[in-house]
Amino acid sequence: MSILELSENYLRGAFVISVTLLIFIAGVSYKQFHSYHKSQQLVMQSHYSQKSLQTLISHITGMETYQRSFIISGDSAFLEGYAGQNDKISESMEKLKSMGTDGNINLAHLDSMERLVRERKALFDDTMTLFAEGASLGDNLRKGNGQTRKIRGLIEHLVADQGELLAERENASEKSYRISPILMFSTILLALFIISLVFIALTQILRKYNKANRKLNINNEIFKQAEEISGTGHWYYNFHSQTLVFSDNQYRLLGLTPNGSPPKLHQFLQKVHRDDRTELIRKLKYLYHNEACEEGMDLKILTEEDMVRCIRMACKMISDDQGNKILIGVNKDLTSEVNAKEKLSQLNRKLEIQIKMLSNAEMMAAVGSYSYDQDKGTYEFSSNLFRILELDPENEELTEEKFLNAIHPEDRVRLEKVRKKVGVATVFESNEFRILTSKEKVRFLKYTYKLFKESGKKMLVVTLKDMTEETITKKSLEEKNKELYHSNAELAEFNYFASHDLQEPLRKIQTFISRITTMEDIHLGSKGEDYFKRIQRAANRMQNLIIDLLAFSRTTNSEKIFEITDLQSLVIQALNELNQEIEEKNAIVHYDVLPTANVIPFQIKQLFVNLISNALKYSKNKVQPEIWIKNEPLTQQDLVDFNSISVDKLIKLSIKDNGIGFDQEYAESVFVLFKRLHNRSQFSGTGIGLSICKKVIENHRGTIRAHSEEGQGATFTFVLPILGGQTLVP
Amino acid sequence: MAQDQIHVLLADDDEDDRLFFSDAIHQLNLNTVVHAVEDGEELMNWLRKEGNPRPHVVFLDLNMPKKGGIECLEEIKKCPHLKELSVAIYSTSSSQKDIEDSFVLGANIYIKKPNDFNVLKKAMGKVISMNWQFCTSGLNKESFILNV
Repeated sequence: MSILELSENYLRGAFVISVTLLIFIAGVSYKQFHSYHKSQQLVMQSHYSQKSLQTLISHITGMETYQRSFIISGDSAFLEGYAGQNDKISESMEKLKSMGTDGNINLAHLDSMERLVRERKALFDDTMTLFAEGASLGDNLRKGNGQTRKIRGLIEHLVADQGELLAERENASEKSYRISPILMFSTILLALFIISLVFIALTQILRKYNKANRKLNINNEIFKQAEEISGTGHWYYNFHSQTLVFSDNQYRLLGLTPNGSPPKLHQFLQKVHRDDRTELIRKLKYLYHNEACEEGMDLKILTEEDMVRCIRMACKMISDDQGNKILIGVNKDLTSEVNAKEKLSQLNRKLEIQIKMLSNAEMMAAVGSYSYDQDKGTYEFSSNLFRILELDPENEELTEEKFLNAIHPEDRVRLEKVRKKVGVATVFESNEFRILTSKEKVRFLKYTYKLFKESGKKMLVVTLKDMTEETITKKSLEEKNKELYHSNAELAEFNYFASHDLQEPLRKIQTFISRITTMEDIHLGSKGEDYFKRIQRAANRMQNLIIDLLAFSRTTNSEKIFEITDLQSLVIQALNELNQEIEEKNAIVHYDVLPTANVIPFQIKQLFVNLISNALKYSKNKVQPEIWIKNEPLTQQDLVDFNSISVDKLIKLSIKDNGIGFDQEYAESVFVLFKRLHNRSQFSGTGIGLSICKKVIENHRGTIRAHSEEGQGATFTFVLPILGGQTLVP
Repeated sequence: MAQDQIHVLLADDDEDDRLFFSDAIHQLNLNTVVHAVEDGEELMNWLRKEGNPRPHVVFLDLNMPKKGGIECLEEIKKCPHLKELSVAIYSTSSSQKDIEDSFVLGANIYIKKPNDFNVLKKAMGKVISMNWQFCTSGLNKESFILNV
């Protein structure tokens, strides 16, 4: 810039010099021209004087001629010419006189000339008078010739003088003419030289300016782009001219098209959101009066599309070189930042809630966790981990060392190895370990961990589950299971004992009795025979008891394998088993087409066997027993009982007889083990059969009910889930 | 006469049962000779001993000391000389497991010891007069258990 300023000074100097030179040249030229003109005039005047002088002499000679001609001829016609010449002489004389006053002719000479002319004229008049008198003219003529000669002599002298003057003047004029072109030429050359220099300098400056301009243009574009990318815009307001100028991006920020018509200040202010406008105007006024600058204020503005945009505005009041107050402002679009911030804070709030939830969840689930930043080597422990370690998360600190020290000494070595291996994907056989809490209590923990990269950082997140209660429960469960297993084994042994060993002696008793009673060569007598029969009955009863007990224990203990089974086929099997009794009693059994269900087949068969044999057993005397096995519609009560199962997943069957029935009062107690409603002598039975039925139904997660009236037959109704007990959540 | 004799072999540790068994067979008058042993070991020895007649049917009690009925059955079926023997299981047990095990191992029939002497007689009569050749070929589970 300084170079430009300097060259500007030089240029200004050069310009002044060249202008001065040109003015000088013009002045000199003018002066020269003037003096030349003057000298030319003088020359002209000299020529004119010469001519006037010669005219004068010619007129005098002419007058002489006319006089003589008149004298000789007496013709008055010559008098006219004579008078004309006289006038012309006076005229010429006047001219000469005026020239004399102009300084062209020596006045002294002119006076003498005038005098001579006057004398000559007087001589003419005298001659004319003499002629008129007729006197001798010779003297006068001679005198006249002499005077004319004198005049001629004077005129010649004057002409010569004038010639000298002319020569002198011409010389002078020529001289001045000769000097000025050289001077002018050289001066013009100088001026041209200077102007050329100026031209060269100017072109260079112009080139520089152009270059600078190009750069400026590029910078301007860059600036525009930068503004667009950074979401900034700028503006300035000239208080003097009251003009507001926006940068391209400023237009965009306000939702306008760049290079639209320039807005007015009040229009701009209208764009500012109501909430911020008053404050902005107050600040601008303050700036105007104090020439201060505003570091940045956040405003909301409404765009053309009525969108709210957040901008940060920095303003400064400056004065230009003419003292005009200009307010400049730079804005940054913070909308996305504000939105992002808002989002971020929302996320933060969510995160906080989630952290709280997590910490609650950790507490509920008895889980603690920590994360380890492998790059920084820093730990972050969850608050529930503090609780697990029986530390106060608010007031106590947890460090790596403290945490590692809490690990039970017996598990520490193993865990150290794990800790060193972490980083390599390894699955560990056991992920359980013990810790000692701050209160020296042993707790059982289980860990899972995950290694991951979070924005380039290696993070290890370890989750610890407090398994203490589970472990204790598990241990007691394991013990109980063991006990159960033992008792089951014992029961199985008992079952075998009951089914084999217990029946063995009984069978022999029975067999021996049968032998004795069939032996022909033994006489027992009627009493003996009766006793033997009683022994036989007792033995049979005992056998039934054993068999039923076995069946009952099988329904309780045996493996419950569910299979999709056709219930009708189970009914048929049961009827086959009871074939003998049915024939004996001449009973009729009706049964519907029964559905298929997921059941334990042998148990359901047992159920049918027991219920049908019950119906046969408690039949009325002298009435043909009839049994109906039917599908039944589900009642509201059934749906209440099975609220977790939909209607189409349940089956309901009933087994009805026309037997003796029982009082509804006993509807519940018939299912109780060993409970009997009748005397043994009336009806044999062990009181186990219906208990087995109830057990079977329980195994299938169903319900069974009895309905009866004394003498009106009995109905046993049971409901089963089609999919069996397996699919049900207990 | 001696050539028409039917030899049956019974392995049962229970003295009473052996008594019922031979009494029942004798009362049937089928010209049958009953050989009885007291346990599985004795049974195998008897079977392997040369000079002993080849039994028409071997009756096996399951629950015996030293060597049980199931073990004997396995051994018999493995032995090339004995595997063609007809084996009838003769047990107090009516457990499904025992029935299935003996069936799978190739026993020909399962007799649950009856608690009536007359029933026993009937059962023996059926078993001894059974045509084993037909029986061994169309074996099925339903006819495996003897119904008296």
